Amino acid sequence: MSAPDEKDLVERCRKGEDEAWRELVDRLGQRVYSVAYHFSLKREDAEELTQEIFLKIFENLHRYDGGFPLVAWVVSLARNLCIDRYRRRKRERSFRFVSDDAVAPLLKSDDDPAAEAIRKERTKLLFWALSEIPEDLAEILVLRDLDGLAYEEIGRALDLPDGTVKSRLFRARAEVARKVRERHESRGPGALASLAVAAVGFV
Amino acid sequence: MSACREVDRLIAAGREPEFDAHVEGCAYCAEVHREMGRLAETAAALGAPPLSSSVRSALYEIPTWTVSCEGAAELLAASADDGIADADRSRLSSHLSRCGACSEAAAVLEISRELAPPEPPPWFATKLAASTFPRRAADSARPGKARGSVRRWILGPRGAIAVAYAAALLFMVLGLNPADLARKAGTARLEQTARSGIQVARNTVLDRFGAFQERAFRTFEVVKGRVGGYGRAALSTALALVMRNDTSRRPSRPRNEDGSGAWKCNEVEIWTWRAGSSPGGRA
Repeated sequence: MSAPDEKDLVERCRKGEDEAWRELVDRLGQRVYSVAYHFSLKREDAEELTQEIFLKIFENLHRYDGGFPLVAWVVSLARNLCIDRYRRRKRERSFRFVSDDAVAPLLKSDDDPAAEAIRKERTKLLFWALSEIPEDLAEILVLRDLDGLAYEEIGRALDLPDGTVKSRLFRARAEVARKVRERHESRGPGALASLAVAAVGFV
Repeated sequence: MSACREVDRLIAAGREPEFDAHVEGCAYCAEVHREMGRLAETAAALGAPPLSSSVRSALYEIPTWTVSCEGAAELLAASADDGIADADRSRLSSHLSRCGACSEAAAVLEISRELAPPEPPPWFATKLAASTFPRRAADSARPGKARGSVRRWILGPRGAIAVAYAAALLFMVLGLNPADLARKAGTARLEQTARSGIQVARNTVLDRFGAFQERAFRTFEVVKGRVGGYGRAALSTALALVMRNDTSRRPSRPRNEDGSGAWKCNEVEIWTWRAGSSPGGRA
């Protein structure tokens, strides 16, 4: 959808057209919910956050000028709200102790239970590593790799140039990889096989 | 396998191409690079958590129970003049409960409607008229000014205070207590104001009366003292005249033994002490 179309959609929402608002919810609801879920890793919190974010969107429709993609504007609002809500307890939030229930909605069902268990453990490890690296790096990795935003959209949402987005994304991935390696090494030689141990339980 | 320090520099600088080149000859960094790949695959494989239909329906309903900030401004403006429908009022209050900025704006608008105009003091109108219409003030200074000055006095601050005192006194004398009237009217504030006004008036009257009484007593005492003093003097003189045969006036000054009267000033013996001398040359 082009920027003029998005501007037109927002204008119709501002005029009170129900259909336009439903279209906006259909188009952005899933993405906003993903952002909220990746921040909270709890279904109830994510649903509450999603409603808060859409309330914020509705109340601030007049601020959108069509200068950049609507999704970037919405993600920017969502991010600010999530940070307001979670910044204080981000470091002790569930990222450190990610439960199976938290990652289950993110995993596609697999016929092979062992493979599914490995992916579950690796996903939990990913969220643990995200909690260990600097916040500005982690959020770019989440927006790019988990939420699937384009570089331009991330740059607009975070008010950063594309080059900085790419550079930070690379650093974020590298830091996460190093954290995972350090964790394995600190657990000794056998720890590298921890993912396999998780899989053994299903065999 | 020891950790490579080069990777720190390359990662901190965000220099991906150099890192890729470095990976070729460094086992540690190659392992990090492989881990990055695995994590990227993991992240890419993650699906988005599905948005439930109930939440989606709740999102559809948002415009039915709240308004945007600009909608709130319009409803606030409309509610000040013509009033708004109950549904709009509900949506507005819902928004105000969430939005601090709009809530503050609503409070300010409400206060602006509640403010009462300031009441000028009683003499302000007269003063204003006098200063605004000098001709009228000049007219009042002409021959008929006696009447005008009385009116000015009545309308002036002193006149207003005097009238207030007189009215309060009259009320008290007639047994009409303004506080009772205010209580009957059911206005507690008016009652309190009336009570304090009566108290002030009563205290003022009592003070004035007390001062007047004290001044009258003083004056009476002075008059009584003077009358008593003169009366006693006159009575004693009359008695002396009646009781004595010789009514000639006695000399009030001391006399010499020979009856020549008081010493004259030049007859006063003045002496000074000298060694071996005595007053009058007497040894």
